[in-house]
Amino acid sequence: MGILEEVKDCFINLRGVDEVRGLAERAAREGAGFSELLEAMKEGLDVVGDRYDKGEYFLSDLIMAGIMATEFVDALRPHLPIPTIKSKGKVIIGTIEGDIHDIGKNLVSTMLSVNGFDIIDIGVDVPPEKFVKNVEKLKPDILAISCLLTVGLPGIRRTVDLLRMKGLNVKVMIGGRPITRDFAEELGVGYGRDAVQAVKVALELTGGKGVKPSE
Amino acid sequence: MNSRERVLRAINFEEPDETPITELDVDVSVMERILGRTLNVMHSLQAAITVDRDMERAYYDALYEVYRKVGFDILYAYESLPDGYRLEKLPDGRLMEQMGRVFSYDDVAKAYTPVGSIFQTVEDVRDFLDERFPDPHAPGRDYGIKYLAEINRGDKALGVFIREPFAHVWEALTPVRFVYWMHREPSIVVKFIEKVTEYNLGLIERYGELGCVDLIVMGGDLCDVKGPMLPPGEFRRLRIFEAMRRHVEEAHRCGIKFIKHTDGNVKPILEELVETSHVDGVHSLDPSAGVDIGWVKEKFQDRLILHGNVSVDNLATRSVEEIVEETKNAIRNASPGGGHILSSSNSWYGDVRLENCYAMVETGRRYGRYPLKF
Repeated sequence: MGILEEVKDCFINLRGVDEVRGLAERAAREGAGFSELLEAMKEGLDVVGDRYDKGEYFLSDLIMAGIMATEFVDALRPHLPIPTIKSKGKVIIGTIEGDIHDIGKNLVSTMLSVNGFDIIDIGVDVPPEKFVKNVEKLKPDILAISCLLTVGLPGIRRTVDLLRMKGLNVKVMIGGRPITRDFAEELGVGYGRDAVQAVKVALELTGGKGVKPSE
Repeated sequence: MNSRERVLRAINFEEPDETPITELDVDVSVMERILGRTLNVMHSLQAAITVDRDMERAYYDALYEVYRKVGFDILYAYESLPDGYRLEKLPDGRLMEQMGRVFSYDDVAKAYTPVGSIFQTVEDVRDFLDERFPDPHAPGRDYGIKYLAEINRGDKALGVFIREPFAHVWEALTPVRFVYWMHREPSIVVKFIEKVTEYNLGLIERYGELGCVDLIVMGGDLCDVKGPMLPPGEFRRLRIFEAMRRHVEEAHRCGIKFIKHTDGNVKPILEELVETSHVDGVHSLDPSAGVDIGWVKEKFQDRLILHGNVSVDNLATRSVEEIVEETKNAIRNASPGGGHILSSSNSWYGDVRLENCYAMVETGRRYGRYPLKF
């Protein structure tokens, strides 16, 4: 099996941190291209996401895939020249005001990050005004809002209203336990049921092929 | 038939006069709306955090008043901190609880919720488990439950809330470290789970000695909306179902029923909870995660007490008419033959609409009267 196939297979079968580190070192010795390696990793992660969607993989598997991806990239970094990678987009992410849960947000951050997005995590219990200020200041391609509790729903609505009032046309995606597709459609924003869906939505919102990094 | 008699019949799969109703927890902010006054209390569903005994009594006084006013049948108490315990406050105002988790104050619920952990390395965990792990037998652990039993005087059934070892360790390590160490250092994860199990067994033994506890609810989630958080094989490898069975056996030795709570889609592990862990019942049966209480009733009949399952999300977002229908549906499907405790699928959280909560209770009283008329 070639190195790229090995990398993909390692992620698909969640062979663990040691394996993925070993593959990174082998890739460095063999002079494999960074972009091709990342693409192989992403293909593996896509399969993990599909299996999670189908109920064949579990939340801990998704977390493990995220850990492996981080380890793989970290292990590659010292060995390979990092080319200018076209970012898929800048994402500001946070949990809405009134809600201090961060597991879902962190998982979405990890999955978006390993799929090529630049992540700016502004934390939990974030008021609508703070989301809007950060959008104005940092000009992201996507604003992602996480929410575990129903108490966060009015804050999400207010954030979207404020963005519109100020004429900020950033793409918005929302997700979390109490959020339904109907609610997202009513607000006219993207809806990611879980971390895997969130990646698909983010890709759709940015056109699927990556966007120029925001200035 | 008083509340306690009603509950005892129901949990023994006999039809009482009516389906018992309660909530595992009512947030302090909701209690204030029900009572029409501000409460100066501290509370967390996930950990013992009240050091001040006056404040602890004030919490239980208010809880009892609320449960009486609403007409609930079961009171739930929580583990107390030992006498003289000093809770560590971090410079940013967050609290470090006795089991290594860091808690922040949630303004909406007026309660403390876990947001972090003191554990950065395996050595941190080892040091905590070997040197600083709390003692379940420390004097005062049963302060709250004894106080609640004293003011209740046997009118309502009495339950105690304890924490699931897996869920506790998942939170204490944080999910990423839990998963990382589950693969690389499984012995430390297993040891932590075992220590929490031993701790809980000590608590249950103490609660059993009190002679006033009717049921134990083990809180902490095993599932998310899609299903179990770990592959079932990992649950087995970490001996989580076996650990739960030890809790159940100790509860049964004390004549106490044992109910496992979990949010999320519990269907894939229900069989394991019944066959391996031998739980008496399950709480939540989360309809937002696709759990159909009628399907569970049909499958498990009188092997499983069903505690639920009006959606906590719907209590905050739907109309009274919709809640009435949802409540009738829960009773129609789960109450025949007893074995059903009507409640929401979680708790009365800070932003629930009170009119919906009252609609759930009123519908429960009206349609839960035996013989059921559907």
